[in-house]
Amino acid sequence: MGSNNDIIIIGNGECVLDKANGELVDTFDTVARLGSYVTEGFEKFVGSKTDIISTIYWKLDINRLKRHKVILNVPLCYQEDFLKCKKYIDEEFDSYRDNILYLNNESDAQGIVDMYLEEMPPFNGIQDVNFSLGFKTFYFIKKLFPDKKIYTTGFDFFKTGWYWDPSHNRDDSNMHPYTWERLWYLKMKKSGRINEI
Amino acid sequence: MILDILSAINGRIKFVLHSKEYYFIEEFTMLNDGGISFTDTSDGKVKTLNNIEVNEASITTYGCNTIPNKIQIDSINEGNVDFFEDNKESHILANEEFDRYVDTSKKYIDFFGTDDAHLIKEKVLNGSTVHLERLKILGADRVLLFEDMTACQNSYIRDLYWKLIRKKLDEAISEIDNSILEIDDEEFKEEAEIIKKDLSDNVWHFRASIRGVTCDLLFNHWPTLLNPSPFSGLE
Repeated sequence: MGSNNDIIIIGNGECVLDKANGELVDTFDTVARLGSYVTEGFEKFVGSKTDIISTIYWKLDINRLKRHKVILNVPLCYQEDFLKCKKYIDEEFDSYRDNILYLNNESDAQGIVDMYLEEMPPFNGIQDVNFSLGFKTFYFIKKLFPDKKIYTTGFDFFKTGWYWDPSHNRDDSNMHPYTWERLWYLKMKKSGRINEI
Repeated sequence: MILDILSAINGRIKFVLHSKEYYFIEEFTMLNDGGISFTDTSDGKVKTLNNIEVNEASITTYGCNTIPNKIQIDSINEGNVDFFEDNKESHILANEEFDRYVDTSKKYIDFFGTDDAHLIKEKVLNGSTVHLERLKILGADRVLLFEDMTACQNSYIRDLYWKLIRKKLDEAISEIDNSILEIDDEEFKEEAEIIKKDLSDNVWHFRASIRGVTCDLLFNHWPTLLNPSPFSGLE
């Protein structure tokens, strides 16, 4: 744990506050965080080091992009228009394009479904479902860093709110297939392909 | 005038006639009283409209240059086919579009039966098939319009909605149970049981939360932990 080959993804669930893992998190070679994560004031639990931010594009803070590598997620339903013009990125983030580690594309849609199906049987509507950012981030990390061992903390699939904002709840969260993601995650943990600290 | 148009295009350009209801007509027979008789292409029923009904009806075709003007009608009646030859491509496209509406209507008529064919045709022609899809997913045995339902029909829809949720819940629980059996590990089982309990709690909490939600809005609601809703993506 914490070796050069390890990566930790910090989920935003309140369960991250159950353990004072901050120091341990900072020992990881690569620390990935999600969306509008907060570290200030929560260092004891989530650490302070950030190497990669995986975020939906409209939550990307330009100041964070200046300092960190970013995996930029575009909802797949908007993908065609978004990629056709690349206008948003060109206008908003062009100066920091080198820091955009990855921008998802249409082929990822099937890749994300396939990642789910490697563990689980299909459910109705799987081809069109909006998987959560956390779930998609597992896919991107596996794709970009296939040799790294994945660790996690703070993943409860919206059972609780965000650790910095408990009022956030799953009913506001875009129809993600929570139960199925959670069962997938449980299986991944059991098989040792995801390791929870 | 409308009868002149209908006679001119009869058997060549397919059309929808809107009188008491919508009729899909490929060809008709003129009756002595000035009415028409035809087989509705969508439900296969023979219909008759009298002279007054025909004159008060509106006609819809699905392409350009499909309604001949007075001069063209006279020319057609004299046996001239220039109108059809000159606009052949447009008429083919118009008839294909008509066929698509018929096919869509037939799909729902096959499911719900011919008794509600008039409602189905209206929904299809008005581009409101979402309503029909919702009823189909629910497993309704007929087409009900939410804005015009009796208390009994309202109860029927809500009952179907709840039964669908229960069915999806049972399927999900069964899937989780399969995983428990497959993994065969106490720790896994313990966490999977928590997922099951959260799921059940969510569904029962949902049931309480939709009391008072009207049928037309019901489909915007779904137990969060049972996502994805079978109704999402229909709009």
